[in-house]
Amino acid sequence: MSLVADRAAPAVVAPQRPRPSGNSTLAAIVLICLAAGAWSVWSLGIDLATIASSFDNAVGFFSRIVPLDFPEFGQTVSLVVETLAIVFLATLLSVVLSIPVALFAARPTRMGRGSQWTARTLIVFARAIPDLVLAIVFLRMFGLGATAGIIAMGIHSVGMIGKLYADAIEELDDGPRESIEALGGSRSQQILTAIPQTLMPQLIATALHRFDINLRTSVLLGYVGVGGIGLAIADSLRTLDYQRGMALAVIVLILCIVIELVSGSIRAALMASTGAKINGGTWVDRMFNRGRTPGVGDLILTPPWSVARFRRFASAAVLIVLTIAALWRVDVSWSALVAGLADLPQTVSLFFPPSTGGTLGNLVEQLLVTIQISLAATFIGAILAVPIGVLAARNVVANRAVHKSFRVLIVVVRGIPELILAIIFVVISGLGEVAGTLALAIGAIGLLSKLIADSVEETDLQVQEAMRTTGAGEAQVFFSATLRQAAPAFVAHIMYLLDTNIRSATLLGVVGAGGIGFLLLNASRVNQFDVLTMVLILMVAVVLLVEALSMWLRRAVR
Amino acid sequence: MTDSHSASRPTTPELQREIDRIYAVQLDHVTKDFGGGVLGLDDVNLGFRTGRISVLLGLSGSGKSTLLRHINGLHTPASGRVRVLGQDMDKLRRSELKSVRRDIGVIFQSFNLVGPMSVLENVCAGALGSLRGPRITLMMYPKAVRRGALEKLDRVGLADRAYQRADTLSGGQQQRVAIARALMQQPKVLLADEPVASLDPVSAHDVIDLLRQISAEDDLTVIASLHQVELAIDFADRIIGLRTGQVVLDRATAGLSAEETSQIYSSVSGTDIAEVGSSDDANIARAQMPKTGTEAAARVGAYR
Repeated sequence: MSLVADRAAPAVVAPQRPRPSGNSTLAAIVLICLAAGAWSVWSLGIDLATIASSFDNAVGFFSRIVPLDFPEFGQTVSLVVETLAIVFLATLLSVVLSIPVALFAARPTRMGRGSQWTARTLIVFARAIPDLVLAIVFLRMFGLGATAGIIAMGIHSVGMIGKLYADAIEELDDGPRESIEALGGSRSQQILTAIPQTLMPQLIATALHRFDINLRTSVLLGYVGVGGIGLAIADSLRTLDYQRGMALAVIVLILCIVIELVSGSIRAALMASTGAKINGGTWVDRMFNRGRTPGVGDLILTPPWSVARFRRFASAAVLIVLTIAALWRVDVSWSALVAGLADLPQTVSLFFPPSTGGTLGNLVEQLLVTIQISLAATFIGAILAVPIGVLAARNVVANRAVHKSFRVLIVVVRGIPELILAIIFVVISGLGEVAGTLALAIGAIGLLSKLIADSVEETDLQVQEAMRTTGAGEAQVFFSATLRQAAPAFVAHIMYLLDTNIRSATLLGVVGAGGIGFLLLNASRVNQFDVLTMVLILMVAVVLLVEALSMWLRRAVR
Repeated sequence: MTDSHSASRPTTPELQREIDRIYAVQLDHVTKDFGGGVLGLDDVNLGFRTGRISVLLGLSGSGKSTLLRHINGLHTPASGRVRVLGQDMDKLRRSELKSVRRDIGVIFQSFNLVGPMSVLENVCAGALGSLRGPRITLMMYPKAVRRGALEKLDRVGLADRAYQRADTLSGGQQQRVAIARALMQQPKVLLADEPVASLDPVSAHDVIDLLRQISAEDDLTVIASLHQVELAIDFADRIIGLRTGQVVLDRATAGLSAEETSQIYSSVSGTDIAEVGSSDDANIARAQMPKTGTEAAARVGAYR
């Protein structure tokens, strides 16, 4: 026997029995979550009887809002444009802030562990602090108006956009970057050559998605004094002018649906164009490239005006024009901005030290109510949204009419801002927790059903095929192949819903839907900023706890 | 066999320079530990002669990619020495590493082109190592670089695709673009990690032929990993078999008999170890025995 052969003999390693996964812990946690949800529903007094008894209120409500009192056309357009300008600038700001944060936070592009950790922490905090609270702070700093709202939404959005960008960078194929590294390219060359063009479609899609969300938020921020339609709605409802208020709400609803459809189609077009062929002639090519054929013979060293290149330049131009127009419309007061920044230490000192305002018991009680609302809303929302989402998936329901109509239902519900739902429920079921819960539960159909439907559609169809070939029935295929594959995504989405609901429940408190949000608004009205800080600390703690729980659950359910 | 494992290094600078001239890439007792007792490379001693084509054969996980990644410094060895173009890779500062990498072209199994970018811009990116600062559009590259890139594209036969998106090309075409990109570096060493594993047989042959032609024209030292034995015999001057991070076979391809070919199969796949014993190995090593004094000295320095 040779030396080579001796060395080649592989070391014998006894097969290890895999450690039992935390199945029992997992089951216990899931049961506890479910129980907490059910208990919240019960303790908030939400049952069919309550809902039925508020039917009279609903009838009364509708008699009070008709006829809807729409503002005159010019005023409507002005409000809509102002709102869109605020939302556009806020989203743009958050994209600009998110790109560097995401580069620091993503593993392939990070500069070091320390700065990666810092960036990740920034993202988590930006998510945990509600934009309403940020708006209150910035209104204090920069005065009433659009500026505070833009900065508040811009910073809070980093929590979502930064995270999604960082995830997208991490999911990219690292090969192209590595190939630039292998040929001696510097760090910045690696990043700027391999990443921007590949990431661009996702970058824009995420920004558009956030634009939709910020549009809804901007309505809410009207309540604390940021301009646009939200302010007009808040003013009308404060004077109990429901006819005008609801008319404006209808305008918001239409606006949201239109924007949703527009951004949806842009996103679809973006996704479709990745990987599409751009060679070949269209009228653009013929117009700009008369008689040009690229090749080494005539050494053409500038790219031809292809449709794609033309579209790139046009998009950049449109973006610049829109930015200038939006800045002009909202009339950002630069002097107030500078003055506000100069006063930063003074403003900050107003918020510290945190104080309970002498009513810690009350704070904790209201915080618990907010948590109950979000648990109950997630519980009811999941019960409503999971079946709808599954039925909207085209690989579960073969009937085109059925899954299409469920998709349309989802889009319509998504279009309704939760704020509007909350206002309606506040009027119908009276001030309090029930209104907030129901509003969030309905809102869940828009958010959760879509995510559920998407993740069911993303499951590997070949697995289902394989099961069918063994003679499994459709139900068996659904439960063993489709549902099993989508289960981790379901858990992740439901936890995400809980996470969003905690923040939404806080915000809806502002319109009287119960919980700690109302205290938040009151504290800011009477300039008790130290109480605001206390509330914020409590909330961030809760959000971080939920985040930790959901991270654990997502790892456990695979 | 024994003396090739003694780590006596050449003592005089002249001798070292002579060895560096003959061997573009030298691996000296290189071991890579991936942790948990997994050895990526296990005491590898190899010298790759300047201007020759060598092919690493082995199953996946045998250490081919790990070996290649050590040569351009994407991996650093746990112990041992990697010397490329007269530079010890572990002693280099960041900037020096970059300048060595500039002389080493790399071709990947998955091509690693930036998909949405035009073919020409992808080729231009090959010059980034000698340019300062990032470039985010084609027009940010100097005109001379763009012209050079178009010439390289012409060399691989794809000049007419210059302004097409890279991800609209076929696999074979993408790999040719990747070769053009590597040529932009004007490399002295070309590493190819499974360059044809994602290609159909016809494209695979085209790419191999192109690599062979370029290697001959530019006097390139080529080190490629492959797993098709016939392709390797066809392509290479020398075949090195790897299994679990160890060199299990090392011989010239010239004059291989059919029987020896089948032995290569079995030694690489590990089905029949006994047939490729150390005696064979020693014969091969002897067949490659250096003829000159300096080469002999190099051999004592454990470079096979």
